[in-house]
Amino acid sequence: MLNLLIFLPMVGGFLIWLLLRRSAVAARWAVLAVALVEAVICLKLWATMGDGFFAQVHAAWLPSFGVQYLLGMDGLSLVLALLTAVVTLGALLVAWNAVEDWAAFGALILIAEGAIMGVLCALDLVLFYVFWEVMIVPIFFLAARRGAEARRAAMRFFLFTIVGSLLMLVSLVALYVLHGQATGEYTFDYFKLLHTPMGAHLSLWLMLGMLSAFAVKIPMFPLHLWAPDTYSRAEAPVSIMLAGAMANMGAYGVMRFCLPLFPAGAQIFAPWGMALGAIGVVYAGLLALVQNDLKRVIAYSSVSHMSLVVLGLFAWQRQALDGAVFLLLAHGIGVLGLFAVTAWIEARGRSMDLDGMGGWFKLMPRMGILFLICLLAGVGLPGLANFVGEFLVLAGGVEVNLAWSVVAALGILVSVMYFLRAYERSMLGPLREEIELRDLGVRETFVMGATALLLLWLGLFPQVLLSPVGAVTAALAQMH
Amino acid sequence: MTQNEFLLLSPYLVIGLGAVAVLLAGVLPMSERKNQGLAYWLTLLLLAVSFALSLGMWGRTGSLMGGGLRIDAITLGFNALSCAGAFASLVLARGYGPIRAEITEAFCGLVLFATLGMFILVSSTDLLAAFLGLELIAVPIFGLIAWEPARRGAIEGALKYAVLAGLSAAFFLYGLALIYAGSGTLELTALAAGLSQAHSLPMLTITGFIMLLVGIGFELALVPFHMWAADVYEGAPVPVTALLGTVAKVAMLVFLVRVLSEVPLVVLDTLAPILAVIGVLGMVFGNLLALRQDKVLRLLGYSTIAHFGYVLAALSCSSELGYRAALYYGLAYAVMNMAVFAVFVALSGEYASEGRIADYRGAGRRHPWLGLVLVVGVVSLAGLPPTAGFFAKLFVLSALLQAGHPALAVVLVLATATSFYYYLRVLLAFFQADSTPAREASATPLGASFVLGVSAVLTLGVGIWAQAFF
Repeated sequence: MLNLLIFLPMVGGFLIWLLLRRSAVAARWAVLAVALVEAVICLKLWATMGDGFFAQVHAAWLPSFGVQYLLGMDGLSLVLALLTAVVTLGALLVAWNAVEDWAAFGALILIAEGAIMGVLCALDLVLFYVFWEVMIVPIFFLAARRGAEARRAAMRFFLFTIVGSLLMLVSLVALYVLHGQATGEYTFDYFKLLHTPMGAHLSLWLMLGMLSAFAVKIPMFPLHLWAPDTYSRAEAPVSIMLAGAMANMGAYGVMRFCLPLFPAGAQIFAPWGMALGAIGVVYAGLLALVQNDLKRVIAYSSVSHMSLVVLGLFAWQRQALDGAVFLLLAHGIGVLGLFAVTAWIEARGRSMDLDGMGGWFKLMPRMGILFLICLLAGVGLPGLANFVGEFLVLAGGVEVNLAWSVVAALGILVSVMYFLRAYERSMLGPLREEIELRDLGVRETFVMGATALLLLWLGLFPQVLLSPVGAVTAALAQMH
Repeated sequence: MTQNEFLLLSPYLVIGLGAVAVLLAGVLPMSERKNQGLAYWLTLLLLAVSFALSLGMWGRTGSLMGGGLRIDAITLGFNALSCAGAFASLVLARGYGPIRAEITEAFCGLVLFATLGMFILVSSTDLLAAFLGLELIAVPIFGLIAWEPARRGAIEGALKYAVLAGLSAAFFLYGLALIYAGSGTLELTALAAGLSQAHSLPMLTITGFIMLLVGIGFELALVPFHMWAADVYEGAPVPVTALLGTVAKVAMLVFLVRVLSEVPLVVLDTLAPILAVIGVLGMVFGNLLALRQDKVLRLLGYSTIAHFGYVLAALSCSSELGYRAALYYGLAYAVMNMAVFAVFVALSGEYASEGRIADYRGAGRRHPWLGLVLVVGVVSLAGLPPTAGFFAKLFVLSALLQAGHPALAVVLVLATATSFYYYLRVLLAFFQADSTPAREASATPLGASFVLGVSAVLTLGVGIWAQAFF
């Protein structure tokens, strides 16, 4: 089952590229079909979910080097896999008419999706690293698709990522060597490495090595420098994949690897992690406040939200961890809606410049309302998804470190300001110029509507997705 | 010579006698075209036979020529690789526009002699035999480098290579003399015994090995003996570069590994730090110099320097794991470079062969298959999974950490990260939307397609099934 989950989109993407290069329409439908099947597989996994790591797959791979092919899924990875499937579907629908070479584009998106699933399921550290890197390559090509600026941004993204990843590789191998020297068994098996004895100091350095890879992905302050540019230069569907699906892998990595593998080192770092998270929330929020480009506002808001996740992760406390995971879900769905809005605006031939907008609510009431729902979710309005996450993170955070949690709470206040400013300048007020703008079509309304409904559903019934995660976060919190 | 020895020696005989036969095929009274065709196909046949023989003897071991050559799994494997590399280069040469008509019996003969040199070098445990192998590689190759004399920089490259190869031979020979003076033997296996004698001079021997290392360093283009690499890569016909830049270097590397794993501890203790320093220099300077290159082939030349920096770092561990990592790296290096060179050979009809990176704009979009192979090859050179290049780096990294060199490991990953910048530039140019008017997309010749396919599959296969090779 997990093999199918990972390799169906990869092989499917490759075959689509191979066979359907001539016909964009056929390729588009095929890509969508594969992504739908992928979502169904995720739902099926949800239905058959068991305790601990279920649906394990185990095979020898490189036995003389202690590498095996070991897959498994638990509540945490399941929830994030569901999110990834949904976000990918959304990204494809957003790209529907905006992309011409669907065979290449769709193949890259599908390969990235498969690799993300692999990252979520891999329980062997080398296997994990393989999927981790495979994930970046298609995303890099996707992000570099639009002109010289995008290429430069993508290059910066890739270099940031790769430095982090390679440092992680050093940490992984060092852990492997340490474990081997201590126990005589050289292995990359996650479960066996969990209890590797090492000094706190060494543990801290190895933890930082791993964290450098995850922090870049999240993007965690101060390693976020690549993110705003890459998000805003890339096409909307690519930004959705970057912010909505791939960024989550950073947070997942922290929970799955950084904290449990190096508890002693993580313990030392945790206060700093909370501080960086809180600073990131405020800093990115303030930057979002002064942007004149709608896409950049959204990009910075995404960085700000993910910083709150960082705060939750390093609070390392049950509610905060629950909240962090939930915030990932809310943020993923939220950026899908927000970047989708930029795609709709672009499809109507308008630029992202906030100065050129204004009064569009009259022209596009449907979009205006749905856009507002996404924004309000981002602001943290009760009843919508983000609220649950933010509340849990702060409630947990206050218990651990009052000061930084208060700073982060102030950062949320900033989010109200920048989102409402962006909405006011684009949708409200007088029309700047006489233009005709079509309101959302059927597909566009469907994407936005589904996003809004999901946000509402998550906000009203958070327990549905919190309960699978509960066992994981509880076990993690106990290590603290 | 016993039957077993004869059998073990058969690949050498096939190539050596075959080379003479190929030269004779050129003087048969036929039309020039037929002569060339005969020599070409005969050479391919000889290489294929020798390849099959080498693999067919898998599992056999023995020593030949009074202990000068050793046949074991490593020898057989790398002999087969040399054959495959020479085969691929020859096939590529036939599909490479500028020298297509010049694949004479002399060209084929030189390739065969170089292959024989690789065989000898890979299997030698006697340093004098190794010298023979070294020269058998170097001399044919500088002829081959200038095979397209009209090409810019061809003569320059060949001259540089010839002069430096001569210099390296001098160092090598001087090293041999010192080793012999110090220990009384040139056989690697007898060295420990020689050094333990009362009248031995270990200092001389150690100095001799350092000279030897300098000689090998020239051939491998290690920093600070790397000056020729980029010029030769740029000046030589691409198929010749493919031969020189893949299997010829790997043969040298295998010999170096053999030397290091056989020499006594006294020598090794002196050599290891030197190797580490050269390794770091290679990683740093190779990558930094490659950053500023605009021409693809020069870039590949500098990237080679960086790759051997990684390998030397592994060798400096002087551990079993380090040697195995280096040998695996050699294999990976050969297949992934072959894939990349094959792409540029296939594109040579459409683009100027010494092209700048920017000239290849959009090539990957016009030729999706070539683009795919290039992605596999370059991703492997850069060291991303699941390719051979990644596992090579993984093994090197684990050897380094195992031996307690975390600083080297960090230098290695930072150097690798730097390398992504220039590798990605090539890929980005390949897949950039092209604004120039559409050109005629030329079809890839069948032979080149074969090489492309095999090397790309191997680049992935050697990685994913690393178990079989490591």
